Amino acid sequence: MNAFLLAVALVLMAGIAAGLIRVAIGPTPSDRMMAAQLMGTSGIGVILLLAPVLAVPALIDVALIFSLLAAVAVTAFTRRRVTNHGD
Amino acid sequence: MTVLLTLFDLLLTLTLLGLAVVTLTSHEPRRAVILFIAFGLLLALVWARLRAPDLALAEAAIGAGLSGALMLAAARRASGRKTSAAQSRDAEDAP
Repeated sequence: MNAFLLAVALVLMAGIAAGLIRVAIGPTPSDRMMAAQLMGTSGIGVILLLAPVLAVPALIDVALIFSLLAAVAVTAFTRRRVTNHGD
Repeated sequence: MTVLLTLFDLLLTLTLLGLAVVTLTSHEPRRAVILFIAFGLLLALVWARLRAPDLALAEAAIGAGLSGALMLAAARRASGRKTSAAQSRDAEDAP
């Protein structure tokens, strides 16, 4: 069972490595941000799979913080600065 | 099981190294910040793999989340100031 979970984590890790390509060559900042979000989502999956494999239940809290991080990063990215009016 | 774990470690290390190289060689600030956020995310994965959940927690919350958001705001402010300074003179008076 653990080997199966680890294999699934390995597939998710390959997805993260593929997302790295889009983060590196993405033409616009939005593409890079979306790829970074994909990496974050896959990271949540990897951590939740690592928790039973490594027998460290505290990793589930780390996955919770990961989801909070994604929301904060997207909020910081999409906030638009008002030009010529001061903010 | 051991082979799978070694493969996982290898993939994680290679991705982290590639991301570090791309981050260090990027010219634009905004691009570098987004790459830095992705790098902090992967570093938290490394801490989780090393059975250090508290370090992974701190890395994800502070290293990638908080400083990533602050640096995104700083990069946007810097680039906005540069373009508006090229367009009008009184851009420096804006706080």
